[in-house]
Amino acid sequence: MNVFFRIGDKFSDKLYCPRLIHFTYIHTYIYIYINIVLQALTLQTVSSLIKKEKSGPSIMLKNYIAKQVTSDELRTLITCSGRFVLHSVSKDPYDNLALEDYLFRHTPLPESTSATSVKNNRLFLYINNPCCVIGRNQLLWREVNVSRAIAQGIPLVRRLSGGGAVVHDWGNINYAHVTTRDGFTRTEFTTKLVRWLVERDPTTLYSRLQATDRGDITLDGTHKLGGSAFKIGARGRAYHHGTLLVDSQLDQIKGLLQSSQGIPGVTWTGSGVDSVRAHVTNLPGSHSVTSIWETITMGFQRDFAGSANNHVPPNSSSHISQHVPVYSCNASKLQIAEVQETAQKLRSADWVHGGGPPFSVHFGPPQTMPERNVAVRHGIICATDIVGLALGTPFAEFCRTSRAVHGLGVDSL
Amino acid sequence: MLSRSVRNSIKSQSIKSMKLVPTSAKILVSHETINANLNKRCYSVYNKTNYNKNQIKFTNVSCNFNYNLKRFNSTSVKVPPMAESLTEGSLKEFSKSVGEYIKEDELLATIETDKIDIEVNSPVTGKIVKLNFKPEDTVTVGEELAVIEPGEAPAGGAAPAASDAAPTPAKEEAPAQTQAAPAQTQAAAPAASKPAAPTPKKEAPPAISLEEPVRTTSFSRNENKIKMNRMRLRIAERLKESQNTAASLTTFNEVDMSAVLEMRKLYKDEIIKKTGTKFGFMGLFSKASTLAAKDIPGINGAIVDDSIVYRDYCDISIAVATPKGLVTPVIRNAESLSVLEIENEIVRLSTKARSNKLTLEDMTGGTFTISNGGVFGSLMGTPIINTPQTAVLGLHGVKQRPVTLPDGKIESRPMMYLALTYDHRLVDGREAVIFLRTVKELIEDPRKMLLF
Repeated sequence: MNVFFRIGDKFSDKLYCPRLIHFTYIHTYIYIYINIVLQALTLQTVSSLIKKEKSGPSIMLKNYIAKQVTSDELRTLITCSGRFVLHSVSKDPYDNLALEDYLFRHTPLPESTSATSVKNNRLFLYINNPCCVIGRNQLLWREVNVSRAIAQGIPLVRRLSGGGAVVHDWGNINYAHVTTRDGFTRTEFTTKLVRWLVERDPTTLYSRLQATDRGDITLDGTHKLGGSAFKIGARGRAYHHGTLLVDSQLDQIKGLLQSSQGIPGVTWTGSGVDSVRAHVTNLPGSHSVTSIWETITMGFQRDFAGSANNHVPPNSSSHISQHVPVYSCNASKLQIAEVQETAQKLRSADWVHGGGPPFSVHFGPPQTMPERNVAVRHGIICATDIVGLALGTPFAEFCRTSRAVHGLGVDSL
Repeated sequence: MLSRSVRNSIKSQSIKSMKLVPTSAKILVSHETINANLNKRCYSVYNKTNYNKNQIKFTNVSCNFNYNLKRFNSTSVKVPPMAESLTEGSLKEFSKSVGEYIKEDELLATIETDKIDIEVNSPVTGKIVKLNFKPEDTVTVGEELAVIEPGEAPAGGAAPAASDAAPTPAKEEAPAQTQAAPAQTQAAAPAASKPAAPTPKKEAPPAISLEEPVRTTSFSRNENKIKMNRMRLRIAERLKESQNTAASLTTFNEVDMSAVLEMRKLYKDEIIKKTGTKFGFMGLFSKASTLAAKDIPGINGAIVDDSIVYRDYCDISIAVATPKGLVTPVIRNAESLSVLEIENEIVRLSTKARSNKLTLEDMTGGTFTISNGGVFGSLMGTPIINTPQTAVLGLHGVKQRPVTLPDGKIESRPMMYLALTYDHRLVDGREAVIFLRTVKELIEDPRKMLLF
C-alpha cells in the first residue's frame, strides 16, 4: 500500500500535468506495478516449486501398516469378500507361487454380476531368491541353460501360468493382481502400475515408461522393465502376474537363459511356447526395492479404494479401514494344506522337467557328427536313435551325464 | 428348438400338408403311425407323386426331430471367451480322456494363448462322450470342445479307473465282500465302497452278485494295483522290442567247474593278501568269453540299420542285483584286462550300484552281457538279450552231479549249465555252439586261456 502513495507522491512532485492526466498516470502505473508484482510473485512460487522437483523424487511417506496374519486368519481373509494387499515375507519361489495359486482359486466372486457390484481385487507382492522361472508350456532346456543354473545352485521353477522365461533375484518385485474374468484385459493393471511409478518420480520417468498391449512395461520403447503372464480360470477368476526390475544384478542373470539363436547344432521340435527375448534394464533413477514396493502398495490402495467393499479387518483402527488394508504373511510357514501341496507339486522333478509338452531334439553339425535324434515325453526319453541309450531315461539325466559318451559334444544344455 | 434346415423344410411344405401335421409332440412319438394314417385317409385325394413328396418331407422332419432330441441329452462344452478381443488359442492338453467321468467344475482342458493360460472346467458331472481336438490344435472361441453326457458315476465300483495317480488299494472291497454274505449288508456295501477311490475293473464283482453260501471265516482277497512308473514302462517296452526285433535262440552246454574251483581254493588267500581282490569266477568267464569272441566276432557285433558292426573291443555288461532292481554296469575293454583286473572292476561297479551312484555312462554301451543266475540257485534258464547287443551268456548254479568222464568212469563233479541266447540274424547256430563250446573248454582247463 505504501508503494502506491510513494509513487503518487513522487509524480505529484514532478509532473506539471492537468489533474486528469495525473490521475490516469498514477492509476496506470499502479496497475502495471500490481501486475508486475503479482507476476513476480507467481514466478517465484513456480520457480521454487520447480526447484523442489528438481531436487529429487518426492518422498511419499508410507501411510499404511502391514498387519501380520496367521494361517487361519489368512484363510478367512481370502475366502471372504473384500479387497486387500498381501505382502509375502518369504523368499522361496515355490511357496510364493503356491500361495498365489491359492489366492487365485479361493478369491470369491462378487455377489451379483451387475455392473455396479465391485470386484474383489487383490494384490499380492513378493520377492524371490535368485531363480529361473519358465512358463507352464515351455521346453526347459530350450529356455534355460540348465547345467549352468545347477552349477550356480539356482533353482528352476515352472509356474502355473503361461508365458516366457524370466530370472528373478532380490532386486525384482513380483506382483500378482487377482480379479474377475469379466472385463479382464491384459493392460488394465500395467497402465495403473506405470502411472503410480511415474507419479513417484515424474522427472526421470515421465513419458518414458509404457505399458504395452502384451502386458509388458517398457522403457523408451526399447528396453523391458517387466514382463507379465496371465491365467484365466473358468470359475470366473483371472490373475495377472508379472515382474518389475528395480535393482537387479543383470550381469549375473545374463547367461542363465539360452540365447535366441539357440545352441548351434541343436534343433528343437515341439509345440512349446517360445520366449520373446528383449533387452532388460532396471528402473532408471536409483530406487530401492522397498520404496517401489511401498509405491505399488499405496497406489493400489488409492486406486482400488471403495468404501463398502474393503475388507474391514477385525479390531482395526478407523483410519486404516478407509483404505484398502495391507497384510503380510510368510508363505513358507503357512499351515494351509492346499498351499503346501501345490508347493510340493511345483518342486517335484516330474513337474519341472516333465510338465511341458512333448518335444524332440535333433543333434547335428557343427557340434556333433553323426546326427542323432531324441524324442522326449513328460521328461522321459521315449524314442531315440542313439545306440546304447536306454528308453525310459529321464532327459535331465541324459543331458547331465551321457551326452559325451554318445559323442554329442554339446555344452550349455 | 428346430434347426434352420428343418424350419425351411417345414415352410416349403404346402399349407394343406401342414394342416395335416399334428402337434410336434405326436410327431416325435409315432411318426410311422401318422404316415400310415395319412396313407389311409389321403390316398384318394392327392395324386401319388404329390403325396409321396409330402411323405418324404415328413419323414425328413421327424428324423430331424429325433436327431435333435438325442443331442439335447448331452452338454456341449464350448471354448470359453478369452481376454479382450482374442479369438484363438492353442489347446495344450485334455486332463481327462473319452469315457472318463468328470465332476462339475473339475478341470477338463487347458488352452494357452499369448501368455494367457486358460482353464476350462466342466459344467456338469458326467461321462465324457467326445473330445473334439487333439493337443496342440488351434481352437476358436465358441467352438465345441467336448461333449459330456450328464449323469452320476455308477455305484458299486463299476466306474473305470480314471486318475493317473495310483488308486488306493481296493481295501474297501474286502470288507464289503466279507459282509456280502448277509443279505442285509449287501445294499450298504456298494454304497460304502462308492466314495472310495475308483476301483479297477468292471469284472470285479460287486457284492450284490455273489451267490456263494455263507462262510463263517473269509480270507483276504486284496488286490493292490500300483500304476507302473514311466521308467518301468519304458524298460518293459525296450525288452519287448528286443524280443520282437531279434531272432533269439538259446543254446545250452554244461561245464565242469572242478578246475576253476580248485584254482580258486589254491590262490584265493594269496590273491587277497597280495592285491585285496576277492577271486570269484566272473573274471574267468569274462576272459573266456572275450577269447572265444575273437574266434566268433559276430557275438561281439551288432546290427545297425542294414550293416553289421564288428568291434575289436569287448565291453561286458555284468548283471548286478541291487535293492532297487537289476542293473547292468559295463566293464570297458574287458579283452585287454587281466582276470583280476576284471574282478576289481566288478567289485567297484557293484559297490557303486548298491550305493546308487551308478551314472548312465556306467550302464550303457555294452557289447556283450554275462548274467549270473546261479547266485540265486537256478538250474537252467534262457536269458534275454539287451538290445542292441547280439548275445548274452547266462551262468547258472553249480551243483554236484554224477557225470561220465571221457574214460568211462562216473564221478560226482560240480557242474554248471551254461546258456547262450543269441540273435540268429547275425550269428548262426553253428557259430553260437562253437562259441559256447570254446568257453566251456577254456573254463574246464584254465591253462588253455594262456595260449590265446
